[in-house]
Amino acid sequence: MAQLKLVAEAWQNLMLHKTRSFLAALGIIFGVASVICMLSISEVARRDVIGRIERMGLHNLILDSVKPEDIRKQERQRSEDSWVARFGMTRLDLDILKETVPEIESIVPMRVMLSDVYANLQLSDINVVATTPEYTEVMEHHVASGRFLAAADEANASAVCVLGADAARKLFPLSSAVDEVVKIGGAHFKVVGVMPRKGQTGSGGILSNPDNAAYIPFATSFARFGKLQTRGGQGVSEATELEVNRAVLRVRDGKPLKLVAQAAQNLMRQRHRQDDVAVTIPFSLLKEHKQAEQIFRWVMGSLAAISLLVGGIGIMNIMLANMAERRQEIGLRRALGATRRDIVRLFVGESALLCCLGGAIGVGTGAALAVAVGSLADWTVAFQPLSFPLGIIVSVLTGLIFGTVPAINAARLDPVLALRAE
Amino acid sequence: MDPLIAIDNISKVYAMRGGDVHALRQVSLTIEEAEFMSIVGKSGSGKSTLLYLLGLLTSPTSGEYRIRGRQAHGLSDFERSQVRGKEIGFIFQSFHLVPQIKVLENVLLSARYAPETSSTDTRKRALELVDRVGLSHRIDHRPTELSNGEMQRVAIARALLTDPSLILADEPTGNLDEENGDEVYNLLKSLNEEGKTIIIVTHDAQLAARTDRCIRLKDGEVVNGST
Ligand SMILES: Nc1ncnc2c1ncn2[C@@H]1O[C@H](COP(=O)(O)OP(=O)(O)OP(=O)(O)O)[C@@H](O)[C@H]1O
Ligand SMILES: [Mg+2]
Repeated sequence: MAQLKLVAEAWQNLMLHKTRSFLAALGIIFGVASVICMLSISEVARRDVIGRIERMGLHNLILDSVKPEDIRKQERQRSEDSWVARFGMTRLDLDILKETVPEIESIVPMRVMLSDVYANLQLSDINVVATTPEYTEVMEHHVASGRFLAAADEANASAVCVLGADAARKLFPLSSAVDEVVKIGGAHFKVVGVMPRKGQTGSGGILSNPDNAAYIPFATSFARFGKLQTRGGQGVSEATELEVNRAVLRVRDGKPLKLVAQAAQNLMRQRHRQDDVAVTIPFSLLKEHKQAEQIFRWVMGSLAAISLLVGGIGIMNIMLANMAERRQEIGLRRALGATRRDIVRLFVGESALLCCLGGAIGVGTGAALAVAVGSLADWTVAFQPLSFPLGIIVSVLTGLIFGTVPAINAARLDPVLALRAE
Repeated sequence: MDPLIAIDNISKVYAMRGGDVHALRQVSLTIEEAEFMSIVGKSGSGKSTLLYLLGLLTSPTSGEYRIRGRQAHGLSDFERSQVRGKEIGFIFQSFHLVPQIKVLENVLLSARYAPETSSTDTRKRALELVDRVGLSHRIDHRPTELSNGEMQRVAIARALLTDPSLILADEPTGNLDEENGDEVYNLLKSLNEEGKTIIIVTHDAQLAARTDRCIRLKDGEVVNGST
């Protein structure tokens, strides 16, 4: 009850100087708002990055074929009209890898096809990826309807395909895609299944967007389209002989990912004249990312502390001015029976309430700002839920801390002198 | 029975850079319940200092002060504040109304630090007091919209809200014309007749003459008056 009275009185006193109170709280408002907004943006980024890494599979190793630098150079300088770039992992590489490294449970090859995809005579921007039935286990990505590519498809090099969620929606917006037919690189493929949405994995490239792909059997890709893929131009044609763009290695439970990665890398170096395979360990990426995040937290924390310090000093300044202006009132309150403690409470209450309001406005502004940024940048906003109450609590604490010095000064005033003040 | 206030050999010294200022020198006084008295003297003679000392707003450098037989010396800030809030009402030359709040709120301010009373009772009493000082029609005005005489009447209503037994007035008519001064005198006189102890510090010889007892200070010493 007494507390309520104190708050009511503080509110009343703040309302007597609306503009001044608002200006005093501005530092707190902006400080809290920017911290809340930055926290939200970093949370969005964090969820995005962690999701991408986790979707690669934390038990997996990723081997990517990369075009070596001297092939790139030659491409730039070439004079002939046709050219074949040969690099990257082969099916044989993977077979040998599987045989020599027993810690590997399975290997899923992925081959990016350059073929166009048509449905109902309509060209689409869907990517074609050739892979094996193990894909669904290793990537922990199971069909939503129909079935995934089967061992029989692989053995017979069947003309079947499975569509990613976005691909299915684009090609067959009105009906279920299963049992429909799509045209891939001029041949008809029957859709046997549709995948659920997975989200981006890893960073960049066709393979990082599993939802926009049509999956065909790995064997079919060679049987139908051969080893060589060409991208036609007028008079110029570029050909690439690349059997496997990516191999995802599922390592047996409890086996050291780093050592297996090392073994895979070594084998590839032995078998290839050029350095054309890159190994990624998603689990290590996650760890590194979490470390970076910790540093980021410290930076954010210090930024928050600095902005609250600035805000707090603003509050202290205004409270000191406020106190000087209200000396007579302080003397009067003392004469009316206010103890020193009552005077401290009066002023601390005002600054705490002011900061509380400032903090609340700041949280609101920050959240609104984050939503605005999110809608501009087209991402779903995420918040750290604790940041809201924390923003307000920390603001109130700032008010308590920075309001105390002026309040104690006020309480220490000699009442007689205070009454005499002009 | 103990007198309301007994002070014995009170001195008040302000240590200043230019040397000590003796605001009061060995003042002894007894004030009985329901007295109506005034303190006069030249400017700087220590009148206000004595009044604030009696009102427990400041402490003596030496000497004894008893209120209703109780030693003031050993009281904590809390206890002194309680005595001020409950037993003492102050009236000032410059009124000391809070300019930003309305008349009624100014009157109610003195209940803020008095011990628990129900807020509806307090409000009723505040309205009665405002009526008594003839300002019922101004309760929603701010002090700046009032004349000096009206402001002082608000201040008197405020001093009375907690029903104190002792009213201390520091030149209550100092900023008022004769007519308003008379009105304030009459109010104080009627309060005295109701049994309150009134002590007025004043420059006004006429006003002093109309009190029952007058004390003259000179350079911090009592130079006449019955003790
Ligand atoms: N806080 C203080 N610090 C230093 N000196 C003070 C203080 N208060 C009062 N004095 C000095 O003590 C003396 C008495 O002051 P006081 O205010 O009691 O006089 P007064 O009789 O009320 O004068 P006036 O009629 O002008 O109000 C003065 O010389 C004054 O300068
Ligand atoms: Mg004086």
